[in-house]
Amino acid sequence: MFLPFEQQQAEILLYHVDLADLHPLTEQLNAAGISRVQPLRDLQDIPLPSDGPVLLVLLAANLDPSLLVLCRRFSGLIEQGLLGLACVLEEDASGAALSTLQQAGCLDVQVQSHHRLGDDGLQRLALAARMVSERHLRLREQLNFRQKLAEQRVMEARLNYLADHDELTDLANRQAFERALGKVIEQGRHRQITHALLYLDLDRFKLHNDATGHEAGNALLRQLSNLLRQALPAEYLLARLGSDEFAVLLQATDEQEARRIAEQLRQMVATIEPDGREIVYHLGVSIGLSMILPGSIGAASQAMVQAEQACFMAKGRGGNCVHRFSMDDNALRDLHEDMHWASPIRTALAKDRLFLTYQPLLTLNTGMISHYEALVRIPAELGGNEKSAQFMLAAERLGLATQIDRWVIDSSIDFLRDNLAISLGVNLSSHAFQEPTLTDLIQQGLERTGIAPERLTFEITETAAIMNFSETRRMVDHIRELGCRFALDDFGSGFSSYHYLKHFPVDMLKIDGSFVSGMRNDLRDEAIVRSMIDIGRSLGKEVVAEFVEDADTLQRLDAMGIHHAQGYYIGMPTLEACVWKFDRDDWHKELQ
Amino acid sequence: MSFIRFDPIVLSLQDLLEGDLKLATPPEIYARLRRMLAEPGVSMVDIAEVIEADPGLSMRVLKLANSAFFSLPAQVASILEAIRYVGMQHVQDIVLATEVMQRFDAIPPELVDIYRFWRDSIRCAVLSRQLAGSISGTPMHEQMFLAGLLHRIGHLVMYQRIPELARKALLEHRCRQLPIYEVERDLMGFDHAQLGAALAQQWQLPKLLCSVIAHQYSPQSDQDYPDASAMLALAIQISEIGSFDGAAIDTGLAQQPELLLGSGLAPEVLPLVLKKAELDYEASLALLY
Repeated sequence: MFLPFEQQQAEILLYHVDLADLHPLTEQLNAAGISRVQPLRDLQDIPLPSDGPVLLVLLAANLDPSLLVLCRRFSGLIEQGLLGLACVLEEDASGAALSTLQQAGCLDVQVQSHHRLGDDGLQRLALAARMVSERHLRLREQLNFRQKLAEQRVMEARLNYLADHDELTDLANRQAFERALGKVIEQGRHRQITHALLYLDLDRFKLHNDATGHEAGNALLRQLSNLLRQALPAEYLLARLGSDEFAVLLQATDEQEARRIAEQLRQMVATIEPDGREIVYHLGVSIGLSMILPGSIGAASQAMVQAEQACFMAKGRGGNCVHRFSMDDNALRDLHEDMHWASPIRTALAKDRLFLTYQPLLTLNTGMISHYEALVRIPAELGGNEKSAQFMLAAERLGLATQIDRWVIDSSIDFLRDNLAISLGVNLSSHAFQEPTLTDLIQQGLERTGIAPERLTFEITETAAIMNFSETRRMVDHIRELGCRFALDDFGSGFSSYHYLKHFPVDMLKIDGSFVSGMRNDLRDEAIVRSMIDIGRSLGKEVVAEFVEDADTLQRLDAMGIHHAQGYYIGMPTLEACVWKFDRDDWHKELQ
Repeated sequence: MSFIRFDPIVLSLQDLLEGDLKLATPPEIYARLRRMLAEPGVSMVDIAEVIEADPGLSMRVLKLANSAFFSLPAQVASILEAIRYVGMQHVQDIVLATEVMQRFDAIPPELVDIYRFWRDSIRCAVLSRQLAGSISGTPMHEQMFLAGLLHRIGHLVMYQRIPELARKALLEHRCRQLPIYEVERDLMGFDHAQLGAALAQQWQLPKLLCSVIAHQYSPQSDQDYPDASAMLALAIQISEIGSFDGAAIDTGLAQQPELLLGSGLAPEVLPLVLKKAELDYEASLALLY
């Protein structure tokens, strides 16, 4: 970026109050090969700073005080390396006066005629011009170097900041939090100090996000993080770990105080009103609390896992509550459960010993039974229970659920190929609809067997649908495009079923069994069931009642306009399935 | 131990200033005027020439001279005349204000509203000027306009150079109700007052300005200019109330009575000062925007 030295040679500007005097001197310098010489009309006209360095030659009669003033005026430019000064005086002056000028910043002071410089005079001016250039270059290099270093340090500081913070909320991110947590644990190892760790996960944030849009979701997260800032003293480490997960490290805090703070935060979140928006969902937060006792916890990651597990428990209890981690609560029970099931599940999968049982659904307007719900089981001799699918939760935790899902899909399709008059409802694990390869498997199965896709209905529970709304929704759309049907299972058991009814593309609603069995002795349950049937019918969905256990219930459901009924009264799950007519006479006889 | 900053961010205030050449070099015309005024033989004609070389500045100086603030009998048409009427200090104020405002042109708009920033700064500037003017025998009042105008210049450096950290500091300050300087020191190792004073020094601004900017939060520890610092602290406090309304200001000041006491201002003068400041504010706003 710098020009070769010759071209960097400073320009020589000659200044004298009487401009006419300058002409011969300019010519003389040019003749001596010093080409960049200009007379200067006015000291304000010095072509600075972008045009490079300049040697300003002041021509004066003698050393008059105003010359010194003039020199001092340029001290700033000289310091910046933009300008050098030389003086040529007509009249001799004492050595002391010359040194005064040199102190004022003059590189060269000589006594010469303004009309004709001697050879040495010319050379001295040329040398001074080179000195100005060199100094200019050196200062610029130094400045450049220092500036670059400084700029680099500023960039590094900004990058360090960005690496440790979440851009949306300006809170610390997971990485920074775990590092700081590690330090606190390390420091507390030899001291008797108890800390507490809170793990916060918003309830139904994904719903909120889907309903109000991404932007509003982000605004809500910013609002929430600012409220957390307000509520917590700066000594407590606060971080955003993931989309709607936050963590707080309560330093030197005992359990009682930690619970108080957690409860305070929970209440605060419950009363949030999103800025400038209607409330679509009341927010809630599930908070996991994990105590870090001296010497009890080895690593930051362990503390995080415990708090996260406790938060998961809080969610499992319905959300919007605080749960303290403890080795002997559900987590431990789950652990035992998992240990119990691991071997039966693995063996059943490896030896292909899973099997399906089929529970019939009665279609009321025809009185026929041709639709069954398929239920996956592990044989008793492998340690399974032929009446229950309890092992599915363990399978999900053990990461075996997808294998089971694949088996169920293949087996159900084979069953439909072999039983042409029957249609099936199939249950998959709660993670199935986030497993994109299952769509391919379904498609291949349909192509392989050529069965009509509408004979296959997938049952999805609200919890499964909530887990990752938009992703699940995409996959459901995809599977429906193949021609398969969807049923919303356990309808009414969750919080936001009506929302799903509006936004989730299902063909069938299965009313949660607890309402149906409750009809026998609770009028409220009957009213709820009636309204669910009305809504389902008016939205054009088929409505199924589960847990139908006696004739009276069936009779009343029939009167309410239910489409299908399922339960022990209609039929127990069996190993075989066929088409048959439900005996209405029996049914009516029993009622009388 | 506070956790606003988890790990020390290695950043020095010198790096912030040095790394940006455009920021580091002193405002050119203001520096030239100051050098010229330091010379014994300088004439008003020379000064006028410097101003005339910049059309934008010339316009502002003329506008100032012809404003209602000076209420001169006849139209002023030349810069030389204008300087004679309004005085060198006013001219320097305008020159520096103009140059500084032009310099910070890269502030992310989503971080701060720069127009609002300058409006608030001008409010503080006129209050500083009028407060100082109301205490007779204080020779420093001439520079108080610039002190008020530039007291938050360190913030502009932060907004422009380290916007992410500046945003974090603002959030922490607003949400946690902690003093901004405390948050900044915790997060960056220095606060905007220190940064602003360092910039003022680098720009070779008058010592008084450097000192009062540095001590805006601790006027009593300013060894060199305790009166000016006390004055600025009071002006800041009043300007942050955001209006010239006497009742609102009385309530605001009641929370920090030591500010009014420390400034040496007689309380009964305050209404008049506010009235003048309000007029000055309208005029200065019109001039600088």
